Amino acid sequence: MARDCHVSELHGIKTVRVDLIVELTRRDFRERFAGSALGATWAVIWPVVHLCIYMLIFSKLMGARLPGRSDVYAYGVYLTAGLVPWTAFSGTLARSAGVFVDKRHLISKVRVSLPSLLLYVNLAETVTFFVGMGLFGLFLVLTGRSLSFHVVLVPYIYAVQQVLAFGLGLFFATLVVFLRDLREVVGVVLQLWFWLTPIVYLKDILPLWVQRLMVWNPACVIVESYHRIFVFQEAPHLPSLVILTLVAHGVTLAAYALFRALEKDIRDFL
Amino acid sequence: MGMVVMAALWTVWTLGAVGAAWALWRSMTSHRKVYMLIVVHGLYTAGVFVIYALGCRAGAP
Repeated sequence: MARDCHVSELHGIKTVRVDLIVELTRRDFRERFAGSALGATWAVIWPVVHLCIYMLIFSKLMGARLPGRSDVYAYGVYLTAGLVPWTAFSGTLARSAGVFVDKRHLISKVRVSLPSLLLYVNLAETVTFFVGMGLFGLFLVLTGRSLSFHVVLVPYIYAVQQVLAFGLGLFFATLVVFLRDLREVVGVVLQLWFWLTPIVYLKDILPLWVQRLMVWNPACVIVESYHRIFVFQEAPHLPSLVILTLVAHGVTLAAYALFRALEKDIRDFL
Repeated sequence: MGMVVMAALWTVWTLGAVGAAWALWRSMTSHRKVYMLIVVHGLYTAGVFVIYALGCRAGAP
């Protein structure tokens, strides 16, 4: 009975250590820029550099244009509106997949809920996302573009994409413990997924049958929502977002059930 | 008008979700809370999109 109670607590939220998650997030930023004189300032410099590349190199120098738009920066805006969320989504998923293996030294020493470890990855990517989106918003305002009211939906769309990344990340993190090659497979799948999602190109250039298949691509629903809000100043397709919300949470529930079934073996393997 | 409807629905929905989550939280054992948290979060977020669609239909923004 006592043992059951102990296992139940390991599964549950009693061992979610908020202080540990925050400390891991801080350490993640410190380690990323360790030894550099500017330190965490690089977390702001990098999004500025990316924004300059998308706006100046792609839009100005290469002359990439959005069909039907005379605006010089329209393609840069389109690119940024898709790439910033995709980077957060793919970064969360890729890093979450290996989190149990990467943090095995910690898991063996500290009594902590394993799924909560994925939260630090999510938190770190969220900070990066909001820095990137904040700078992007600033660019839009400074260049005289008005932000549409639909921008209020961004936190909800972001929440859905990160729940999906969390669910898929937990699913793969559980399996990677037993099959390490899966981590590389996740990297390959993310590369393919990127090119199968209209981030750097418009969906209209694809053959009709591929466009029809895109409704099954959750990343397409997510990226299109950002495009509609920031580029086309219109509301995202709300029925698709409702379905995606239910799917993302369903995936997370299934991943958590899988994790619970294998938790004891995961701890033994690590 | 649409904005007022949307804001009112969003406020009621958010307070309801927080209240329901709190009531369920107090009545459940540890690991069930995780399932509950995921379900409540999912239903709440989906509801926000539905409310937004209703608001848009009523003329907002």
